[in-house]
Amino acid sequence: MENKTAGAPPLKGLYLEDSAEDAELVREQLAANMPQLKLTIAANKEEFRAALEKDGCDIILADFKVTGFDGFASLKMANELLPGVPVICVSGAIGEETAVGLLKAGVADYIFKDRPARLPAAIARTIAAARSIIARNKAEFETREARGLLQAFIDNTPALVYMLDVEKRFVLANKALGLLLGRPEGELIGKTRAEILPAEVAARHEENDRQVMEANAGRLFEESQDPEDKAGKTFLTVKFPLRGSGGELLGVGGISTDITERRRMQSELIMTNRDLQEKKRLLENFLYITTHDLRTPLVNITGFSEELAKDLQTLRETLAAAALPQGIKEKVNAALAESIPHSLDYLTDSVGKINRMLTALLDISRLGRQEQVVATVDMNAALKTILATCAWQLEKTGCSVSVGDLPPFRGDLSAATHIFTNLLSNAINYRKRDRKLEINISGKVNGGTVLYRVCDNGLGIKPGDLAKVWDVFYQAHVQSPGVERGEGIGLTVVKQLAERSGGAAWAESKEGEGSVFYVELPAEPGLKSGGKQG
Amino acid sequence: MTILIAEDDDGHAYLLRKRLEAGGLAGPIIRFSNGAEAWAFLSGETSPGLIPGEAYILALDIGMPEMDGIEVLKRVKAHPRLKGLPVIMLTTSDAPEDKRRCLELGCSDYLTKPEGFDKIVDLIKAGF
Repeated sequence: MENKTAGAPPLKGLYLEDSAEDAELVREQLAANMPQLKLTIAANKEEFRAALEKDGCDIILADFKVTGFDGFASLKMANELLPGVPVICVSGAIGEETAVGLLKAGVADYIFKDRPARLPAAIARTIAAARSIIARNKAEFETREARGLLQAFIDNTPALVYMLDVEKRFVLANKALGLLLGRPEGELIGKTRAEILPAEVAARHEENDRQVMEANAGRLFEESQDPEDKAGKTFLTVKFPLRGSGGELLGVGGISTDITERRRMQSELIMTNRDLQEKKRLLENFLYITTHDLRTPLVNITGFSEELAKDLQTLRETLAAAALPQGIKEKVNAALAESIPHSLDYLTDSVGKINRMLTALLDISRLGRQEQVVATVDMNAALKTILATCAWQLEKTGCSVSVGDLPPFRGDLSAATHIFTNLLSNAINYRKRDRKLEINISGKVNGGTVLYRVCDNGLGIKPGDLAKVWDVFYQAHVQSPGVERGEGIGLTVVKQLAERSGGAAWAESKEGEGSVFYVELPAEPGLKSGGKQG
Repeated sequence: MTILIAEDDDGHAYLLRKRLEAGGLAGPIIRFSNGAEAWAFLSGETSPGLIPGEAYILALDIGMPEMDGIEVLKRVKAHPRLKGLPVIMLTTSDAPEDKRRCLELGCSDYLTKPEGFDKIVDLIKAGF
């Protein structure tokens, strides 16, 4: 028999027995047939209580007749103090009625003391039965607990979370969905959408569910969950098929996030952008028309100044031959030879300045009106052309230009030509007259962009001027001989064109040492980062 | 040769007339204050129109009220009887798109003011 039970998991038993002789008898019987059972004997009510309170056990054996403590009382105490632990009544003869009463009260089995051999089998059977009940209860408890946890989890998200079975009935719904649909989430369980939402809305949702189940894959939908669509809410819903462990289709799950605000902001952004584009267009148009219209009176000022100069010449020649009194002749001569020409010079100068500014403004306004032709631009070829165009200037100033291998970019060739021509002219104009101008042009791919670098050893820019050089009409106050004062728009155009091409332009400089101008333009898709640093 | 001037600005018209006269082109000069007036004359609406066999040249501004110079040019060059009329654009606009459009439409030359006032004299004298 020992072999049969050897290695079995140890069991603990508690035996209430006031007869030492009977207790010994049972212990012997069990020790022989159930060695894994360690039996504790309680001789009276107090010992029994103490043992129940102190140690747990797997099985309780109770004599029906202990002085002042019958089977019913001991069962009650055992159930209270160790609920779930089975009790077997071990006793001498008792009436059938009492035996039935005990079984009804919850005793697992009833064994007569004169047949102790039956005890081990009864104990084994009872423990097995109890364990199965406990296991079942535990599984049930755990399922309930898991479900509670899941519910708590989904109730605490602002997203709408739900599951529907293949009959299109809710089997799970969270608080947020209940709130939106105006009823407790529990009430949704077992209902179809058609019972909650307007037919049309329900049909739309069910169609999406059908698609997901049919495709057997998760999908994204933009949906409204609102029964009346009163709030006009929009949800981004991910729907996915629910499958059992055997792969059978159980239904569909959904998680919907409220994107109403996001959508509103997006459409606001689009409207603002459109509005800005329109304003920009109006402004460019306004700039164009204004500058254009300003030219008409300017042409008059220029033309009539020239007429005045001609008339002045005629007057001078006529009066030179005329005999005038000495005092008057001197005054007339002073006016004709000095003050009138002087005034005319000022007029011509100022008109020239206004004219140049208007030309510059027109150029800028034209940038915004020009259509960009986007293509892959071979910058090595483009720069060759640009350098050929500037060759005369470069040669005249004795400048040396070194160019690295330049990566191509995606954009407008004429914009790039304008940008680099302006940067070269800028470098030439702001060169340091007492040293040879050296310009280095390089470029490298940097993620989705190409970064071009135009580096010179010219006059450089004062730290305070670095941000201003991009402003329209801004001209650095350079105290250096030979620097021509342009219109002050070259770099403005560079920046505008770079930005219009989806890029940027900026500079670094050290006064007296030189400047580095950076132009960032969109890269040709698929170009690898790095390399090509000239 | 009769010189036709379509020019809305009095100052510009005066300056052009002065330069033409100074250049020795003292023939008849007819000035129109806008494109519509010029077209009404050329098309014969308000006049017998151009006298056959006579030499004409039109100095045409672009930005004018009622009808702009480009429209006048378009009509002249599309007109069977007028399309041979030499038209010199004389404008403040140096917009490349304006210049391209006018040359496409068939103008003889495209001059910008104020330099154009002198250049047109040279062009006419040289027989353009």
